[in-house]
Amino acid sequence: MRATAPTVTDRTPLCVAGGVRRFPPRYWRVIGLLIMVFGHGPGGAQHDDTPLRIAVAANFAPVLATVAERFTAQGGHRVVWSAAASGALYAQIRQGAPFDIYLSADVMRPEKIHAAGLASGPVFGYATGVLVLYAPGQNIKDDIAEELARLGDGYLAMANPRIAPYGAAAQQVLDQIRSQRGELTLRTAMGSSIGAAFHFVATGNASHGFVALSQLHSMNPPADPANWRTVPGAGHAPLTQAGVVLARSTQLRASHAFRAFLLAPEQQQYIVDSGYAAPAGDS
Amino acid sequence: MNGVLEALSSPALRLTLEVAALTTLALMLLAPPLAWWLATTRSRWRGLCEAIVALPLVLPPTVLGFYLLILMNPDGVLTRALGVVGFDGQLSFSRSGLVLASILYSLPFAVQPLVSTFAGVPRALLEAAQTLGASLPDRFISVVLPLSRRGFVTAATLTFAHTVGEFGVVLMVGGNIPGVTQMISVAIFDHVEALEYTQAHVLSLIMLGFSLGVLTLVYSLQRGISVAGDPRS
Repeated sequence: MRATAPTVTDRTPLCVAGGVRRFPPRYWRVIGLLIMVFGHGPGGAQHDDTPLRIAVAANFAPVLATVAERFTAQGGHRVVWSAAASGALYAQIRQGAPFDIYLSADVMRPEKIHAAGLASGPVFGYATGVLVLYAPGQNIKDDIAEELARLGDGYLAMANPRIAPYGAAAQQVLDQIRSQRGELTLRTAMGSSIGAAFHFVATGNASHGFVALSQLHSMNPPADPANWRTVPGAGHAPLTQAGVVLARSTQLRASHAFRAFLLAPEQQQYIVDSGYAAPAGDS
Repeated sequence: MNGVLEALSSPALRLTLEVAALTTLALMLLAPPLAWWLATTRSRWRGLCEAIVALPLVLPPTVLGFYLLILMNPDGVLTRALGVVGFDGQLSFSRSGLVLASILYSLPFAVQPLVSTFAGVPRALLEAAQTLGASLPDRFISVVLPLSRRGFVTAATLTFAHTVGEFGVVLMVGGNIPGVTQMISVAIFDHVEALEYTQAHVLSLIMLGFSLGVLTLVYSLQRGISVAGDPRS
């Protein structure tokens, strides 16, 4: 970027007769200065302050925001993140998107990245999601199956089982109830993510919904405990969320430093407080 | 090959065509009076009304989807308003809700071509018809309609194509129920998310070919180039 200003000056004599004459030399100096200032990022610091770029599953983005802030405050890199559905981020990473770390909402996708030789270091579990049945404004029964049986005409919202881990877990719970108690007629509305499923319930379009505990935690004011029940973890495969450091990262050291920071007890406690269960650890 | 067959037999294809056809039909009935008013009025509200009609062009579909999600819940304003005329049920997650959302979403694509075509109808012809004793409906049917045939074809084609390509609104109010509200664009999204790239390719290719065909038709019509089925243009 610094080279820009001299380049312009070098070329100036060649075009003196042309349009450049119309702009006083001061103009080019200002342009050069602007490029140097803004092209270099704020502060113009001497050391490399390229931020860490993290691709994060949407459900974890609010938690990552705080963790990243703490990481930077304790002398680590600045962090910027892109929150989206894990599958969308996976597709982007396979197409060469410039991320340093991928925090997925499942284990399968990071493992595929690892198997494709695109990972640096192991696949690591960083959080385990908790599935809850949520029905705003209703005194919900302790037994999930009994509660669903009285759903009647209302819709049950859930994430799409084919693409969202929380949806797959909800589907397993429903399958298990059906196999134990027989027929269970439900009208289900599928959200493209656990976020969409939550919105269906929050806006009253669905009376009940399988959502994430972390979503209830981030509500303000918090959801009334009478309105939701944790779905027993035995009813579905664990909702382990795993990540990988990407081999194409230009900042491998900083990336691994962030991974260690995320997995350290202090941040793990914060993750649990935010509505996740303790992670299963490295897989 | 399994993926190709699965994609082609997807209920999303049929549903998309149905929703697009119903939306086009509804808009071809609703849009002409509105477009005629916009093309002829001197009201000072005209600018505001044109802006409202054009809103879906510039608003992110998520805004429309978000508002519709709130208006369409069982106690929502839209649901209750339709309850007055005998609608019984829930709008969100239903095909009726999807058609209603599409009507709003595709409104500018139906109204704007009609406004410009109506504006081109010579006033002198209408006045001549009036002096010959033609009533307003008669004038519309025997003078305006034949002169604006091309505008109607453009409006209908664009409405249909735009509804077929609808994504954001459907994603937000549809609930992704196969055969009921899962339209082709959402099905593609699902396939990509589920890493089923073959099916995503097949459906995407269909969309690409369809959209190119429709746009070619529309632009050919606008240039006045003869198109099959319309020998006089």
